[in-house]
Order: sequence, then structure tokens, then C-alpha cells
Amino acid sequence: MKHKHNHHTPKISKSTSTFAVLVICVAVVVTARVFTRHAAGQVKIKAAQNRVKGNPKGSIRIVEYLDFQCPACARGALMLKSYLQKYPLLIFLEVKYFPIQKIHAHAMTSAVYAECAARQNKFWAFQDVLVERQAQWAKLISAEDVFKNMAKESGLDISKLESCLADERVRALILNEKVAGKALGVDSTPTYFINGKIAVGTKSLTEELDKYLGASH
Amino acid sequence: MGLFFVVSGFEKLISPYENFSYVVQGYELLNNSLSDIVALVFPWIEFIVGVFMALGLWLKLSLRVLWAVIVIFIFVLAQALLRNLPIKDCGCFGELFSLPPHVTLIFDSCLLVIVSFLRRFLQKTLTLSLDNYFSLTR
Repeated sequence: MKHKHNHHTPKISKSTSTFAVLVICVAVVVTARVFTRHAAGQVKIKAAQNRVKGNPKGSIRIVEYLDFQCPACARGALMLKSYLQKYPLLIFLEVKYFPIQKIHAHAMTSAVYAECAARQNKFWAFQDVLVERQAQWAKLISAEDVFKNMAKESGLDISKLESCLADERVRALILNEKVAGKALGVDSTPTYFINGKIAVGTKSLTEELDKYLGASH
Repeated sequence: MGLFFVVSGFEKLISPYENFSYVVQGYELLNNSLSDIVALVFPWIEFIVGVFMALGLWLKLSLRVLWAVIVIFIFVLAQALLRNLPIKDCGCFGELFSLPPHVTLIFDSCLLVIVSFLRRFLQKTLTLSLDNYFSLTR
């Protein structure tokens, strides 16, 4: 007995369907990229006034997004300090906050202390101590006492510091910077923008800087 | 399962490739140039294979590619754990969610079992797939 097969010709073949799916995939991704880049272009970035260093007219403008508890950020901060000492007229550095609280318990607290130091024009002195001793305080369950001692060492006025620590606008500023960073494509730390070009991690930072500094020798 | 890889791949594709390149560099297997190449190519493979799996198109090939990709993930994670590399977040899912490498290793091992199962019982896997639709209409 012959079985009747329910044959019908599909409107498009498998290879055409495959091609169409691939084209749609590429179109979706390209459209999403254009949209996110356009959205990033609308983000107004406020200059971090007390967290800048170097020559404002320098040809190498670096914006650094960091998390103070991130080991690679500590290495990057020390590298940039060294670059700035070597090329003070060429480099202009601006630091922005990007605390990654889900993996770093003290990310926000350290950023708050750093911002409070910035408000007393002591950001760089405080950051130096923070990154040099990162390995010690990162392991602690609570680092507040250590941060307070570091603040004293850096010359901060403790009563002003206490007021600042209680000010919710400080956290809001830090979170806003993080949101702005995300809009620009920052996903991890350290992320650097060197004359607008993104470089993630210290290897990429040195590669990118060497392109400029190699050319200037 | 296909949708999982669609979302994971898509998230990497819409953010700067330098982010994923940095993640790849963290596993200390490739130099910067090769990490960049992987970061540019791999998310497309992940996304497209995910789409094809979700649609059930070229399912046999998609499962084979996915199986190979997961084996590579497991190798990369395992060597990072054995070498005690300082990686706190596998970086696999961008900002979507964070998983430490040892948890991701377990997760990927489960995925490998599922994919192996789907390959083993391919005929049943093909039910409700576009591959099945096209084969019935020949």
C-alpha cells in the first residue's frame, strides 16, 4: 500500500532561508551598534575637576575609568604616574570612577574616600597611598579604618572628610560617572580613552601610549 | 539553549571589542593581536550559532560547532584555574551577570552534557526544527 506523502514546495529554499537569517543577524547587530554609539554620543561627560593631572594642552589626553580595588587598575595608576613624570608636557590625565561592587567589596567605599579627598584637592596624594597599599586593604572585611588613616596621612581635614562621607551626593556622582562610562562602552577596569580611542587593560594602555610617545622621540 | 548563546554573543557584539579582548588576554593564552582577532570573530560565531540553534536550522552543524566551542571554553577555564590566574569574573557574559571561573566551569560542563545529549538523539532534537520542515518538503 502506497503512503501518500504530504509534499508541498516551500516558498523559499533552505539555502535562501540561511542567507536571509545571516543577513538579518548582521543587520540587527549593525543597527544595535549604531544606536548604542549614537546614544553614547549624547552622553554629556562632566570634567572631573579635581581629578586631573598633567598639561591641559598636552597632545595625549587620557581618561581613565578605574576601580580602586582592581589590581590591574593599581598597576595602571602607577604606570601612568611614571609616564606623567617622564612626559609632563605631553600627557593630560583625568580619572573617573567605575566601581565594580559585585566583585569588589570596597570599590564604592574607596571611591567615596577618593572623591572626598578630591574635594579637599588631595586626590592624587590619596590615590597614591590607596594604590600602593591596595594588596593590604583589599583583603580586609572592613577597610574604613584603613582609609581614614590613609586620609590623615594624605593631609585631609578629618572633620571635612566626615561631612563628605555622609553626603549622599558623593555616591550619586560616582554612580553617575559609572553610568556615563557604561554608555561609552566601559565594561571592566581599567579602561582608558586615549585621545578618544578605547584601550582596556594596562597592556593596551602601554601599546597605545607607545604609539604616541614612540613618534615623539 | 540557542537563545542563551544569542544573548551572550549579542552582548559582546554591541560593546567595544576591546572589552572582550581584555577578557581573553586575562586567560594568558594568546598575545594581544590574537586576543583582538578572537574578540572580533568569536562573538559572531556565538551569536550566529545561537540563532541557528534557536531556529533549528543546520542543527547538526550548529551542535557540532557549539560542542567544539564549549570544549574550548572548558579548556581555557580549566587552565586558568590550574595556573591560579587572578580572574575573578569569567567575563563570559559581559555586564549581564558575573560568574567566577570555577562556577562557569561547572556550568559549561553541564552545557557540554546537554549538547552531547542533543547530538546523540539528533532525530528527536530535529523535531519542530526548520531542518525538519525543509526535509519533509523535499
